[in-house]
Amino acid sequence: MGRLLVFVEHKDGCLKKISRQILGYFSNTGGENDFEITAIIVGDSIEKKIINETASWGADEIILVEDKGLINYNPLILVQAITEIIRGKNPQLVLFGNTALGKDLAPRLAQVFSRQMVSDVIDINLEKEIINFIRPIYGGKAFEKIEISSNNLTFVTVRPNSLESFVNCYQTPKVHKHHTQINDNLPYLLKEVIKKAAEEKSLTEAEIIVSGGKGMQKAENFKLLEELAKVLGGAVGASRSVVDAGWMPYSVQVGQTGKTVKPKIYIACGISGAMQHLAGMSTSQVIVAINKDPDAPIFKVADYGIVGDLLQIVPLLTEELRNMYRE
Amino acid sequence: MKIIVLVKETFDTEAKILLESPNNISQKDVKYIINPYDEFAIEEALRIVEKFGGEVILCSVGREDSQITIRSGLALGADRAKLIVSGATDSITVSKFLAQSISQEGFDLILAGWVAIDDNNAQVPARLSELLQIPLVNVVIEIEISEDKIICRRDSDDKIEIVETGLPAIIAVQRGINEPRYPTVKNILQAKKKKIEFLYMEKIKEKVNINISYDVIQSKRKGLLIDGSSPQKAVTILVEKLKEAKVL
Ligand SMILES: Cc1cc2nc3c(=O)[nH]c(=O)nc-3n(C[C@H](O)[C@H](O)[C@H](O)COP(=O)(O)OP(=O)(O)OC[C@H]3O[C@@H](n4cnc5c(N)ncnc54)[C@H](O)[C@@H]3O)c2cc1C
Ligand SMILES: Nc1ncnc2c1ncn2[C@@H]1O[C@H](COP(=O)(O)O)[C@@H](O)[C@H]1O
Repeated sequence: MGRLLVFVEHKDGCLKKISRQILGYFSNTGGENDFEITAIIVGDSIEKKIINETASWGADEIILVEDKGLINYNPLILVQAITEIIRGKNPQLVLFGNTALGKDLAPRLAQVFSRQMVSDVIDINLEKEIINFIRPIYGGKAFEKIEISSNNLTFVTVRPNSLESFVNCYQTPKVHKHHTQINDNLPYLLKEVIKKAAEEKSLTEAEIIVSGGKGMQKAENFKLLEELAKVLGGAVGASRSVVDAGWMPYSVQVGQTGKTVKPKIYIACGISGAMQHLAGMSTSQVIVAINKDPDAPIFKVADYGIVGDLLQIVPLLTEELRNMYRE
Repeated sequence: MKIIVLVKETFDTEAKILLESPNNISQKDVKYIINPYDEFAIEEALRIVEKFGGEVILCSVGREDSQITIRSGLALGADRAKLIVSGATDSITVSKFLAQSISQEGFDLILAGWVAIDDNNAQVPARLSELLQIPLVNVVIEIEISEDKIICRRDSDDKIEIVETGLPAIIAVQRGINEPRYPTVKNILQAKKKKIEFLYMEKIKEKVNINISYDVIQSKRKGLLIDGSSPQKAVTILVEKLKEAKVL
């Protein structure tokens, strides 16, 4: 029997999808490695709703780190608190989402303990004494398979939408509080938090992404993609050429030097499929490409492609889907 | 101001990834570049020094031949470089070597890329901040330096965080922070005369309980092409297919 520590992220009173995915995956894949799952929830005042939801995804134990000083993210405070919890619990795995928070905290903690960290994993397999991780490297052009014996403390960040999660029956976890001494004189001070525009938010968590490239021809044509995304309940992304041209903000750039996404459907419109673009989206579940050039490299990685003019095809696709949902 | 910029040599983004064996990625005929995020770090360092005066020192753990890549960083305007030659590529050892040589050198500020595009680890800056016990501000898209403090804008998924820290610190930068310059002919010529200090460090063989192997992506995609000369028909087929695939 080993122990897993899962850092739970929440927003607006709900767990983030990635946290549900990690909890759900491990509470159902115990297998031969029967893990006890300890969830850590941090906040200035943690709602009951969040605790219940964490329990419903299979946490055996919940540790609340609650303090007014935690209203805003400060890595130094969280590293201290989680370090204390790890020392007390001796877990084998400490898991985070590969989110802004996980990417920042996990490597700091890994170094506090001088241990391995496995970043941005897309698959985890538990065997008897070994844990297997798969993660994309070289912009998704290759995959690294890492086997680590399961009795070592290892830090992990999991790419959103990678692990299949199942709704678990409610556990009645022990809930307790962990108090950490907050030093007011830290050399890292969060001065201000600025929310991004709503349309920029959802890219990494979006289930469907409609992305446009240079083939969109001008900024105004992105309206077509916004309409399509709206019908599908998805988000709009872009290639770097589009961002460089100033048609869309950098925050929606997909690719090696942009966001890495893994939606259920990725629809690439007027995107040639340069390696640096593929780096950001090649692990999507289903890839659709619309391009007028039948030899465009994007078709080599697509599940479904339409060879044609996107200015004609996109509006028709929006209409077709609108009709489908209406029925 | 004495600024250290961490520079990692990576495969060119166009490079084809081939395996020599399941445990070895081939380096044959590979073109190398400076990790693109580190170019932003170099540019930012140059701008700071142009404003406040000082020195920009590139620091890298790599191969003997990495000096060619490092030289291209000097051609952008950095003053000199330290190249730690070692077989190590894992984040723990690389960070340890960097920490050793950087603390010997001394510094006011360290700039790095937030992630390397080859190993996709995003670990070295954080590890270094723990080893050197200096604050790290991660994924930074704007830096403003004054007398005694640094204000950073940091990209944090759906938010921008404005963080204040002091010197010394390590800042890991994200694209958007600046537009890197191109080397001038004069700088390229000067770079040939700039000093690269070589340090040789041996990786201590640890009892490893970790096994790493690689797989090169083969597209397992369906690759169905639909003729779009009748757009309406094509769209209907596509929606059918997506329904069949159970993603709609
Ligand atoms: C270090 C580095 C990092 C990079 N990082 C990224 C990154 O993060 N993300 C990224 O996207 N790129 C990145 N790039 C750039 C990348 O190499 C490509 O230049 C870029 O992705 C091309 O964008 P595109 O596909 O929109 O444009 P293009 O390559 O110009 O393709 C446009 C496509 O639109 C099609 N088209 C034109 N008109 C129509 C029409 N009416 N209907 C249908 N199709 C049409 C064309 O057939 C063509 O295939 C990077 C490059 C480098 C060197
Ligand atoms: N071998 C190395 N030598 C110098 N700097 C490095 C090295 N590896 C990583 N870095 C720095 O750390 C950043 C993140 O790299 P990584 O942790 O490998 O994703 C890079 O952008 C570099 O600035």
